[in-house]
Amino acid sequence: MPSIEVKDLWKSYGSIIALRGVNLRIEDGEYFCLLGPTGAGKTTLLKIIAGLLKQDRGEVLIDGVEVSSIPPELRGASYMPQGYALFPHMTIWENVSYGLSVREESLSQAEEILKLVGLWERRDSYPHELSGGQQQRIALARALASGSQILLLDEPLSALDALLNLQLRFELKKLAKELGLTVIHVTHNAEEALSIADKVAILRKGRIQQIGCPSEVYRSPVNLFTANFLGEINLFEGRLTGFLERMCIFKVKTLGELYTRRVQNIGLNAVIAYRPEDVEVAIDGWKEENFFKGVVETVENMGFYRRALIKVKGLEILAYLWIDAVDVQEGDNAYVYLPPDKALVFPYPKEGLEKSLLSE
Amino acid sequence: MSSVSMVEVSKRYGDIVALDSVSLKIEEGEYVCVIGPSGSGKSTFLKVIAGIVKPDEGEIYIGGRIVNNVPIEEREIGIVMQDILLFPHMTLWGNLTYGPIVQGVGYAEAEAIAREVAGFMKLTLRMKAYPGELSRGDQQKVAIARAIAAGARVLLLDEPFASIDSRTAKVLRFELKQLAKDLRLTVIHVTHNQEEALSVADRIVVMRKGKIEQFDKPSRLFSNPRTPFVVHFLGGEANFFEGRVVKLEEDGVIVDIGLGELVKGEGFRRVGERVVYAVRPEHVDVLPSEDGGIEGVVEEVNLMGFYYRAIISVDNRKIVVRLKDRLKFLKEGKVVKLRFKRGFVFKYPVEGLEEAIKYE
Repeated sequence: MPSIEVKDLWKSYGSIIALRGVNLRIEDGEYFCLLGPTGAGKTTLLKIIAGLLKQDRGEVLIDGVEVSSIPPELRGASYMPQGYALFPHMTIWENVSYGLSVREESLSQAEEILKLVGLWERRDSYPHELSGGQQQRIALARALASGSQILLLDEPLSALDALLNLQLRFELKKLAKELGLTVIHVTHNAEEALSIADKVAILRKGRIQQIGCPSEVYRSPVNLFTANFLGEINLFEGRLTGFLERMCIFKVKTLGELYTRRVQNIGLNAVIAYRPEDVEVAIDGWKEENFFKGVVETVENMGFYRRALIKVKGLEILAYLWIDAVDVQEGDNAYVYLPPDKALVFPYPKEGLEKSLLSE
Repeated sequence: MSSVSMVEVSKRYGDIVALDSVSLKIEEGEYVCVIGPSGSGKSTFLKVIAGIVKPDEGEIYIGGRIVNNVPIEEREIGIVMQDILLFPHMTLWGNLTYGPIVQGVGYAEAEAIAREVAGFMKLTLRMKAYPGELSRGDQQKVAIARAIAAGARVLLLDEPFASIDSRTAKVLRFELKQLAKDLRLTVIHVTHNQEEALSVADRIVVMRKGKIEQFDKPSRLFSNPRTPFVVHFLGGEANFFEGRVVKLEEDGVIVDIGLGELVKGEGFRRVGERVVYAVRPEHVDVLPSEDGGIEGVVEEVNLMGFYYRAIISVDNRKIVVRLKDRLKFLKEGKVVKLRFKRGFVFKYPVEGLEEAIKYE
């Protein structure tokens, strides 16, 4: 059944290089998210797999077969572009069953999928009679009912607001699994990708940065770009000054000594990164290392967590406080603890810290 | 003075009621965000203050003066929208001095104003650039600067960051809030992004079907939601139950929601009364099966980035839970116990629960 393989794929548009040697393997039945900022090459990659664009170099294999000479409609893949469009003059039923009826296949699958997305009762309505969320659901149903075993989705949920996006993304994954489809889902929304993907690939400037399961890429990002793109993060520039038992000691400008778990092959200059949820905030107490006194600058209440910015020796440290965490207010004195085992340590990037984070 | 008030303002488009007798007062220097699902009337809210749309009924006051018949250009407001409207053939300098010059303040003063605003917005070094040479984020900054240079005391922002990538938008919204406070501007900012509203607003207007559901500080929207809709719209995947009050306590009521165990909730209703019981996902404690509580089975666990989301099924109900850490016993198919740490009790809505929290 359909696996997808991409080997050393290159593509340029004039002087702009969109893909620079991309390699990927997507297993049969896998839900694969392709994540990256605008301009990273996500849509280009998806269109080449769909057969809507031709690569300059490299191969696309579907089910082990090189498909360069196979036209899009025979690749067994259904492509859903960003900003889906339903046929306005067709009913919901006609929209969803269109792909199957064109191929003169049985329409029972269309019925099944419409029931699964919960809109079977609306089958005789026209698109404009439905809400935005329902229309998006129909567009997904149409893609799911195309009869293809491979689904290529370009930002399928980006037009929805936060809550609808949340509800629909899990529904989408569940349907794909029930139908046994292989899915590539392109998105720029890190939370969306992490929450539904079996595997995620992070793309930047036409190059794959990392491929892994969500917890792997989130907890162990391979570089600063990936770390920063997957969620807010605190970055400290440090100089390795020594070791203590199983720990590294870094000297961080103004902050002083910062202990991290022992890391190998870092070199003298490093960037130490802490996710805001790993930063601990207290109003008293004491720890032997990585314990700093500061002043709370701002606290934003986001409902289930608070974003607290704490100024420590001229540096701003961002902490996410869970509902049951300490109650701090702007102007309060507070202590910040950076647990050594939660540090992510990266070699100082050759191009400089700021540039290493840029999307373009 | 630049407070903004509405007194029983209504606006209909044919059968559709966009504003339904809306009254509120926004204080001078206050930063207010307006949120609500699409079609809730939030854009109309902004447009009647701007003078773009004339209300059918009611009065609008800016700075204590009734402005129903005052044209847009005399309302001392600045309007900034999602689509960035700058003069493309003029430098930033030209864009910023244009307003004051047209108002006839004289060149010297216009330049002084432009210089001051540019300084405030950290644009001084880019004054010779043309809008096309700037990033979208910086262009939007210039649009805001231009409104301020033109003498706006009230800024009306309609989705100002919707077309800017989320990283840049986070920085911009923080700068904008600072600026508004420094200059004591009154800001009314419409957004579809709940997180954006929570992070910048002094107070938030939650709109639904042309009415104000609640107008409150962000923290109060979470601690004292007035309606089930507010819980639903701001909480993200809150859990709702129908129930009956069985007992009154000093600090709330005990409710039977049909899950076997009785639950406690905030809010006072009569014993025997039919109510809605709402629990946010972060207020559900998940405990090992040996503990006491409502018994359920783990259906799925998703990494959402800095937190986990789990679905626990209890009989035929699916309960959404948010957790900071992945608990060892939280595995698909395992039996767990649930306890609700906090729940809100509401009078049962006349239109029924489903309709009352309906999103679209």
